[in-house]
Amino acid sequence: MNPLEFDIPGAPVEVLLFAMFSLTAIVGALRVVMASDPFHSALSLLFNFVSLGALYLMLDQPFVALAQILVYAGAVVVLFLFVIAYLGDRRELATDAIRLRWLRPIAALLALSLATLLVGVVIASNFPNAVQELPETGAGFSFGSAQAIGEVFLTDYVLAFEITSVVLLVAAIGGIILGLTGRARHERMRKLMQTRSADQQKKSYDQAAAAAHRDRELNS
Amino acid sequence: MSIEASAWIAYLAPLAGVLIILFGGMKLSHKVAGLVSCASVLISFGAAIATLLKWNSLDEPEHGVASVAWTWLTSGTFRIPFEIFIDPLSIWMLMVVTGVGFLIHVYSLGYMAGDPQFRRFMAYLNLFIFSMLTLVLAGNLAFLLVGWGLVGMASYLLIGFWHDRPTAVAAAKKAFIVNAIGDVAIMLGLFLIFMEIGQVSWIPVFELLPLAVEENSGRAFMICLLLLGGALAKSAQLPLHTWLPDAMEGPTPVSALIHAATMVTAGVYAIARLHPIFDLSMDAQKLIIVLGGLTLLMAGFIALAQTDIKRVIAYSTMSQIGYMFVAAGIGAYGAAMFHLATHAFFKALLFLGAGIVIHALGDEQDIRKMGGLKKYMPKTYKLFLVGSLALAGIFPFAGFFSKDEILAFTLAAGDVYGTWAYVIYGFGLLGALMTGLYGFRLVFLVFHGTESPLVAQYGRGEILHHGHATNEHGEAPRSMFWPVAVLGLLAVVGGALAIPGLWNVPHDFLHGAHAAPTREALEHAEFSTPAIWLFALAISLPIAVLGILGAWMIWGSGKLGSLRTRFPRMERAGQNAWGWDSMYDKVFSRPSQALATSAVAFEDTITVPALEEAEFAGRDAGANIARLQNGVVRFYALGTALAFLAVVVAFIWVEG
Amino acid sequence: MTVDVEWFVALSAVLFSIGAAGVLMRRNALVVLLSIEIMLNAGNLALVAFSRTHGVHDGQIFAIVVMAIAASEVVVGLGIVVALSHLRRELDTDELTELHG
Repeated sequence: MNPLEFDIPGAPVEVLLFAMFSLTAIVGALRVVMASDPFHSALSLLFNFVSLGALYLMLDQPFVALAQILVYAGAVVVLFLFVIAYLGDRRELATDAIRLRWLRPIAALLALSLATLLVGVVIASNFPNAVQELPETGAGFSFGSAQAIGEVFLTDYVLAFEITSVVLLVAAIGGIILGLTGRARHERMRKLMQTRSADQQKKSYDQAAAAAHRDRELNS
Repeated sequence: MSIEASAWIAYLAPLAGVLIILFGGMKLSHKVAGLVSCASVLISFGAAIATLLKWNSLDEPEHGVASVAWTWLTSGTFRIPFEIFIDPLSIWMLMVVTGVGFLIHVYSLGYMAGDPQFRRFMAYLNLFIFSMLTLVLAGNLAFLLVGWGLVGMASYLLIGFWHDRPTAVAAAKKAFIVNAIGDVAIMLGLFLIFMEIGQVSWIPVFELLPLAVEENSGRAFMICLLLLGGALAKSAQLPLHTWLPDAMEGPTPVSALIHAATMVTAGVYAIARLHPIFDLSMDAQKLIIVLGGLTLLMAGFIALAQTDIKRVIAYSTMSQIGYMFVAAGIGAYGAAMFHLATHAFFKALLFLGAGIVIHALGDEQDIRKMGGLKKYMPKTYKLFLVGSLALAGIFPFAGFFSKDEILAFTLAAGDVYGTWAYVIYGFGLLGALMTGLYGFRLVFLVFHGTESPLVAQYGRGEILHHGHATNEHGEAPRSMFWPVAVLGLLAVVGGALAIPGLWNVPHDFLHGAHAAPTREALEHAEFSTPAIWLFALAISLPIAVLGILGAWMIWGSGKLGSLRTRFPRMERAGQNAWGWDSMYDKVFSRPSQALATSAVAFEDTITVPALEEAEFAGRDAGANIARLQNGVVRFYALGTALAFLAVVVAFIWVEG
Repeated sequence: MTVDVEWFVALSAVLFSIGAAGVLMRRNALVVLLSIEIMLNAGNLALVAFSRTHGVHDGQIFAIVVMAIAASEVVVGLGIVVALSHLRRELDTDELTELHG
């Protein structure tokens, strides 16, 4: 029994809920794209993500909704906010820096036509009705529950699961390396390179690092 | 140890020497490098003797023994195995090559001592021995071609050994190019044979080709002609002989080993080896005889006029190989191989003796600046004299038996080929006279007569070589002297291998299915008897003695000295080597240069501008396209979005 | 369920187009990253909606994998933005054209 399904005469509450959350999702998305302050953009993205989470719940998928809230709203947006706060006020530059001015109207037109086309296709096509009886997994877990997702993930999709975890690990290492700055980065990289202890490698790296350092100082 | 094993050892030992010197590089001292190269050839010689003994103890030595190492190349039914073929002919050559090769290696230790590139020289010399063994042991036509090419390369490397001398480099290139003509000819011959029978190994070729190709047909003549082209180039016979005199630019041991004893005789070997093929075409045989006869005569005349000691001997080599070609042409393979071996002895002896003289006089090769050396170099004089006597064919030296066997067979060939063969016999006799003349011209001009200033200088120990007077340790270093002495001994006793009426070792040894000592027709010729042989000896010996006497009169005692300047045109022609070089220059070199010049002009006026236009057009187009890559990420994203849109539209279009 | 799956997919299409517009029109690298997140989420919505329609879990698995990848992408993308901000003042993609041909 869907907890959100209760009976109101006239418009079913589901339709109302869908209308509400889709509206917040669209408004949030529009604000992300349009706000001149990146901070506002990030906050609006939060609206968008939470609305999507609610829509996932309406689709009988509590685990994905939970993950949406935890990963996107909890982690990704917070990370964005951290970075924006760290970098300070960086609005877009004066208009004289804009290149290819004709690009913007074309892009707007393109996005509009894309939206029209896709929505038109969706309306025109004949999707099957959603199944009424939600199936259970082999072990008897209910559809969309954490147990059911876990079972499927660790049986049919175990390879995808492992690869995803490797990707996450690589991304974490990449983030650390990219985050290192200046001297610390230089030292860390040199230690990484020294595993072979090839003198020549070290020497050439030292030279490259020194040159990079010089360039940085010239630029700043 | 089986016969195959010993043959493979003989074959591969020089290669091992090359590799050791090559990879040892600068780490090896000159002494070690020299030792390694000599030892490897000595091992090869020992293995060759073992192979010979094994062969004689074989139960049924009818055919040769083919030993396949692995299949070298396969393409459909075409198969070239990496194989060696052991039969009396290849053992004979194996003995000559490794034996003479070893002596010359030892000689080189002294001759090349002090040269900064000594190691490279020894490695090349070993490479040559290996290449020559590839040629003589090859078990099929393709492999023979490999050896043929390899000896050409080794010869090229050794002629051009002193690569800072432009003349040496030019001579090396000339030798290589002329030999390449021969290589191509042999290759085409190989293709023809393969077309006919689809096999390359000796026994199938010899057994199947006579069935596939009609005797005396055009096809048979064509095959023989192409194979003969290779033999002519390698053996410096008319008309592909011009490289040999120039090849004397190489160090003297090289001249002795490659351009006297071994490589230049490869053509004779090839005709003997491929005789079942040459048996198919009477015309090809006649061609070989005529070319050999003309070469032996022409080279004799030119040798009389040349003034460079090494060139004189080079023309003499050409002349002697002419005799071998005549013998091979008429089918007296045994006689040809016999003369090949004795010639290797006495010609190497003459070259090495000349090398001692050249070395002593500080690299002087002009005989007009020599004279009276007998006083300072008595031992060298005696050895050189032995060599010249053997060359001239005086009893009991080696050349006497071998050359006169050829002349005897030529006389017998008249029975097979018709009366014109007697003309060739006349050529041979005239050649014998010339041999005596030019051989002893050298002896008298270099060792007799009045002492020249240069020789006097040598006598006073004023000619220096690497800071030492060249006469410091007697006539020559011991390592240079004893190989010459051994060769001298061989030049004296070598002829005893075949004594008319008593025995004929080469003839008996070369007896076998595919190494017949004589062609069947010749075997049954009317005159093929020891009596004819003795008759031929009785005629040619006086002629040789006459030649020597003539030389004594003209250049020795001077009684007929006026004859020296009596034939100025003849002399000039001889010094110009009868104008072959300038003729080739006019006929081939100049037209091809003119063609090349016009090709360059064509390129400059048409090809290059057109290509430049194409280049500019391409560059402009590229520059225009490169502007698309403007670095603006949004621009790229727009492209992606557009493409996506296009795909969506296409889907809608298709799905309706 | 009374809201048809069409509506979810249509919403996903609209969100995707908005995100695309952001990527194409904005010059601030951070906002471009945010827009990409919107596009990824739009895709997720469609996946989840289809998963519900067919009553199978595959779409959800995909959505979760996409989330993990998106998180990785954010980490690396933000790392690049931060490193870039150390190297030069502006984060304007129109100024970052060193790779032009």
